[in-house]
This record gives sequence, structure tokens and C-alpha cells, in this order.
Amino acid sequence: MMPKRWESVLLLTARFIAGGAFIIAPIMKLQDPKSFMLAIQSFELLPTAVIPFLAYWIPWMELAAGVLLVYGVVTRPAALVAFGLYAMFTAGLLYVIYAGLPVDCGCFGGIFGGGTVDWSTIGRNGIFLAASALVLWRGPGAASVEALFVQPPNGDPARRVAPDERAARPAEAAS
Amino acid sequence: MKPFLLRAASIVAFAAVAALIHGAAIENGFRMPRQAEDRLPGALADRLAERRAPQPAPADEAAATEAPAPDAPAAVVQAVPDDEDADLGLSSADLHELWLMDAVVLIDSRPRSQFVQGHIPGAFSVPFEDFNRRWPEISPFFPADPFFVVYCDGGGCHASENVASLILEQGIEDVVIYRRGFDAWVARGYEVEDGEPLI
Repeated sequence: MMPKRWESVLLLTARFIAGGAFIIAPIMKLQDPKSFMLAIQSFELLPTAVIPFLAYWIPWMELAAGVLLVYGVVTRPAALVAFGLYAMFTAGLLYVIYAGLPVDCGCFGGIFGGGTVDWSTIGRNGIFLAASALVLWRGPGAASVEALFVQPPNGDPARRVAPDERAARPAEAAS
Repeated sequence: MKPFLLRAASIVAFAAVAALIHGAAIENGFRMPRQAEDRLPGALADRLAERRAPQPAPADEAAATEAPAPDAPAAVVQAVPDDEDADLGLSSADLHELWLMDAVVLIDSRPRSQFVQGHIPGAFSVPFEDFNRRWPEISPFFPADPFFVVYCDGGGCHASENVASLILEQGIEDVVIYRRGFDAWVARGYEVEDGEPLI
């Protein structure tokens, strides 16, 4: 069934929200990994030994997932990575609020200025989490690179199916 | 494994490889920034002790005829009993003394909105997340051989530790954290001013 126009627009918007944030967020983190190490350490959740590697790994995951989401390439796997990262960040922020730690968010590498963690930070993360969950559930939508180049399995040119979705339905693809 | 999960794992693996290359390309890339001390180094502590030392008694004749000079250190330098927790390092009384001597550069690492509401007079506003933008702006205004004292609210806030570590990363060694923070400074009734940072 062809996705309705509003669904395509919704999925495009969700991809730009979830992916766009992950393109902006790592800019400062990758330029200044030492600051991000300190920001992670402030959360008092992880052993110091793993923090330096995470300070590089997390921004690169964000960037990879963000670019793939925005362009709509390997979209659902990228949405899964984004969902996992957003869920992890939200859990960390909830812990900080629960523990009453007066720490700076470290979100977006401080690109939009500083700010301590509060419920508005959780709300913002909730939007990103919902956007990535929507893309993970429904796929990239029609307005994506993936939909342009992947042939539909059932001959309907309007039916755009992600490669991973097609792989998951071998019987349908064979028919 | 499903192709879907395999692709997701590939993204994570790509990021791990990129992280390893990125970290290896930076000198000491995988080293945590150092933590600054919270106690005064010898030179500054000696200077403070010297200022607080009892002044030698004036000669009898002079004592009989001359009043102490108004700016005599003894008038200012009474050691203030500090009943705060010694484990927190630099005491409020010591910092106040150093501030009176104009011997330190104070760095306020709290968010700018809190700085505007009140700060130690003369402090520079350098919020942790704004460090890379603010540091070059304020650096030209430091005195020669500055000694930095970084503070935040106190009560376990990490901003002062983080900013102090970033100052150390600049190759500056003379940095101390005032862990008691602005709240302790206010509680002791020391001077406070409000308003936007001048620089």
C-alpha cells in the first residue's frame, strides 16, 4: 500500500529532526573531545577508563546515523542506532535529575551554549526519541534516496520498500 | 543475524574505527584531561602566610608616639578562623584574602544567567560549555603570570573542575579549584556584585 502523502511528509520531517540533531550535535564534540570527556565524566555513570574512547565513538555514531537518516540511506538501521543513542542519553539525563547532580547537559557539545539538565532537556530528547522511533517503525518514506533507487518487489512503482524490509520478506520478493 | 541488524552493527563498527583513528591522530587523544588541584601551591600559600604573619612589634619609642599606618597589613590580615570542611581545599577565608590582595584571576564557571544574578567582583564569566569561545576573548585581559581560581556554585557542581581541566589543557599550570563555591562565599558575607560581564 502506498504511503499517504502526509505519511511521507511526516517521515521526512522525523528523519530531519532525528538525523539533523545528530549532524549538529557532534560538530563541537569532534572538534573538542576533551570537553566532551569532561561532560561525560560529570554524569558519574561510567568508569573513567572507557570515557576517552566513548568521547570519540559517540559523536562518530551520531554523525554516521545522522547523515544516513537525513539522506534516507540504510534508513531503518540508522534509525535503530539513533534510537539507541537517544534512549541512552535520555536514561543518563533522567539519572542526573533523579540524583540531583548539578551538571551541564553536554548536549550538542555546547554549540547552543550551556545549561544544566532539567525536564525541558528530557522533553527535547523525547521528541528526538519519538522521531527516530517513527522512522524505525515506518521506514524512510517516499522522499528518500533509498526509495529512489530501490525497486519495489511487487512491480508497483509507487511502492517503495527499504532493502532490509525486502530482505525480511523473501516470499513476497520471490513472487 | 538479520541484514537489518547487521547494517546497524556496521554503522556502530564504522564509528568505532573512525573513533580509533581520530583519537590516535591527536596527541594524547585518549588521555583524560588532568584534574586541577584544590589547594594553594607553595608560592601562593607562602605569600598568604607572609601577609598574615604577625607584624614585628614597633620600637618602644615609635610605639609610644606613632599610630599604626592605616595600610599596615596587620590591620587587614587577621587570620580568619575557617570552620569549613578542610577536605574541600582552598578555604573561603583564604580566597577572600587572595582576592583582597588582587593575587588571583577568578573564573566563574556557572551558566551566564547565574553570573548575571551575582558573582565575585572581578570574576570572568567562563561557563564550561562556552569555554572555547570565551577563553580567547578574555585571555588578553589577564595580568602577567596569572594564577587562576575557578569556582561554580559549590555543593558538588562539576563545572569548576571541568573548566579548570580545560585551563590546564591550555598549558597553564597555576589553577586551583574553589570547591566551596559561590554559595559559601555569599554565606560568609563577602563582597558580591551582579550584572553582565564587562568582557
